[in-house]
Amino acid sequence: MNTSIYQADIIDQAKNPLNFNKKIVCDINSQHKNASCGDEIYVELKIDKQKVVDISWKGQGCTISMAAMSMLSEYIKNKSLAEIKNYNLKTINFLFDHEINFGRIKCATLGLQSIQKAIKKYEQK
Amino acid sequence: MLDVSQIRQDFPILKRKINGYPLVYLDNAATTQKPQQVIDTMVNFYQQHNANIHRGVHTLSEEATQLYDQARQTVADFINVKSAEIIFVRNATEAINLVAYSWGLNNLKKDDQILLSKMEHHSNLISWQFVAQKTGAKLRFIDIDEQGQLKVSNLKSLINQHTKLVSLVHVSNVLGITNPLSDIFKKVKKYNPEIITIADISQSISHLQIDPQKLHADFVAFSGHKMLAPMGIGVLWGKLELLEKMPPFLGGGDMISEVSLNNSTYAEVQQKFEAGTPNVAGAIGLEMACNYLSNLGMDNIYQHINHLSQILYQKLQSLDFVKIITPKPESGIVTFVINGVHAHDVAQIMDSLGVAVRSGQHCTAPLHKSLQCLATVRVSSYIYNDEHDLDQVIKGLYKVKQVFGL
Repeated sequence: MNTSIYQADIIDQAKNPLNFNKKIVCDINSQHKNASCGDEIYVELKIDKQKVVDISWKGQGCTISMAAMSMLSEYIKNKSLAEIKNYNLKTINFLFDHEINFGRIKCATLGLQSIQKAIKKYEQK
Repeated sequence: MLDVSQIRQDFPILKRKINGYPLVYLDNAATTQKPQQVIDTMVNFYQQHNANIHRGVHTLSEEATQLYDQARQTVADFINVKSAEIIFVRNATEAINLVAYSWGLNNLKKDDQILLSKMEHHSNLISWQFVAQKTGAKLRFIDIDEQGQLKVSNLKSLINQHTKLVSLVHVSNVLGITNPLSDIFKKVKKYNPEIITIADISQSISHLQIDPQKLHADFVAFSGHKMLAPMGIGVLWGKLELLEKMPPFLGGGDMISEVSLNNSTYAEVQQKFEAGTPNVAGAIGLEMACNYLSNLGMDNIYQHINHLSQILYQKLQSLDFVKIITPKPESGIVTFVINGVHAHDVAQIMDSLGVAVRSGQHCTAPLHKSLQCLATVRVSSYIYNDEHDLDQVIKGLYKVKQVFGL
């Protein structure tokens, strides 16, 4: 493991995340918690024609979880629910352009899990 | 005084390099490393004496049985109790669950009260939540003050005629402070000798001379792996008269005296609670760990880690970007946060320099809520650590400062 993931743009993104605490009219919300560190992400999604059209989220966490969710929140816009449901660690690695090390997988996928929980909840409505 | 360079020779893992740097292992409150003596004694068991115990008349079975019994005696001597009162389990969590299921479920009823503290490891919280849900008993908690110390002055208001059990951690795995268990349990027993007292000594067994009678405890629970022994072996000590009255926890082989298809009578205390083939190699490893620690001397161990935590505390105090959470350095543990940087990010940067520290909530979510911390960084020293290791921590913190532009 090295620290090359801690690039200035990643740290900056974690400190000033995109789509954070935005006011949106949402169709569904959900949250997910990392029990080992207490980090938590709450997410709201606006969905139209089986696509995510807007997202707002909030939460507290480490650089990895915050930066991952920030990037993901832009990336999922106008993507289909079916596509987002298939996202996994590889998606996050792609967004970071860096392989997340084993010990940080829970951090990196915290936001993704919140989003996927929200979609599941939406589909069960 | 400990001869750290001599001690380090006994721990082969300390020769490892992590990310190109020599390993600096400072996560001892989670688990300690194992000396060659412990490893060798377990290898020797499997190479020379392996057989199932208690049931064979052949030589190896007798040897294994004798080794297992001898291990029990050594562990009993280590905490100054009778070997008949030592029950081998997997870890402290299992020990506490054994009391919760066997004593708790059979003796507690609606509106009885179980007193814990807000500082408990989840191992001494969740099992009592189970008992409370099943029996209708209520959980009450000793609060902590702003420094993180137990508010013992409130004790009188928390103990009443409904209190049936008090279970508390001896040394906090997060804050590193030693709770005045002896005083608390003495007061509890003075109020009502029938109240059951349980000490979670998982974190204190590694560096304090423990005597359950002096703690006024009815039960103590600890894991071997936090005191140089292998993972998967732990101990429940309980007063014989209580253990005798308790029903078995798990059913199976070795715990019965007579068996028919629908009914059985149970064996004496130890075997009653040790159903199935036990972890003989683990018990022998634990015995060797007890001997290793006794040879060093528990007072020397305490002095050494106390000294290291004081030094680290002073070093951290001089860093303006570090906020120390540990109220006073005494048991090798110093816990802190860095303003603006999450504990996991700190730990990962430390790891890039070969320094292993813990980050997160350390299985104490309620305590972190009370301290108003999301997650903390914990440095925990032990017998093989020295001041050079602490310098690496400081070096790591400066790297954190640089990476995050603090």
